[in-house]
Amino acid sequence: MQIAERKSNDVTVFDVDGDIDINSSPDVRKTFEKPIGEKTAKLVINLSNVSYIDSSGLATLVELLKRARSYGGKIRLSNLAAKVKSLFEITKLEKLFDIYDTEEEAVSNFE
Amino acid sequence: MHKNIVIESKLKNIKGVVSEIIGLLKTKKADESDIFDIRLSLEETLINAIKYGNKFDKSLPVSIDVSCEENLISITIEDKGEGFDYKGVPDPTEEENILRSRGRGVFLVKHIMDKVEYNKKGNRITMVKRLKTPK
Repeated sequence: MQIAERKSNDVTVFDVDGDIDINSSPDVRKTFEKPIGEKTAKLVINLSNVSYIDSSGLATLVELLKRARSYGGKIRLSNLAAKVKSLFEITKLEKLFDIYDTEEEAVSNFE
Repeated sequence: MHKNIVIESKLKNIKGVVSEIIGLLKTKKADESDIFDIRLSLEETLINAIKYGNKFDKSLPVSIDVSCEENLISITIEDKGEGFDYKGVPDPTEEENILRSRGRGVFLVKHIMDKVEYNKKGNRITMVKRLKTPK
């Protein structure tokens, strides 16, 4: 699993490539230490290259969301594969996260 | 097809078990969506068996029993732990639990498999899934 960080206007976009599971979750947490530590306000996590996520991965994203919310930051998710999205629906995490079909949509209307 | 695999309680052993079973499903040309569900169910239950059942005690085995007949796969995972209270797992979709870190694994397995049963002690889970007809 790899994560690349880039800027799109004033939004920080993270492109995740690979599974988000019990093995890679510590790396995901570590990658987000810096932006969350710096209280980055607008974050988009592009999951277009994530074909698998487990309960540890979901828990890791929830943890990031909680930490971002604690300082008023926002995390949006984009480009979820159908099976990955179905897990957000089953667990009702779709209500917790702002989920967009495309990165463009996720980035464009950030206030 | 019937297969029994026994592993030591190490998380690194999960990958091999999952690869073996997924490999069998691929030879049967199983649907990718079914393969996803079975992989997730296997990994979640094996992690629970090693972590919460056998508490990472390498001397305690985890047994995996797989039967696959035509379009039905049945997987039984058994650890040597004291069992867990599967009826007492809080619903992770409830508002008071939605932000919790734990409790989604078992919940997901119950939703993506067709049938999930525990023995009375709570240290053996059997999961059944009806596979889609190969295209």
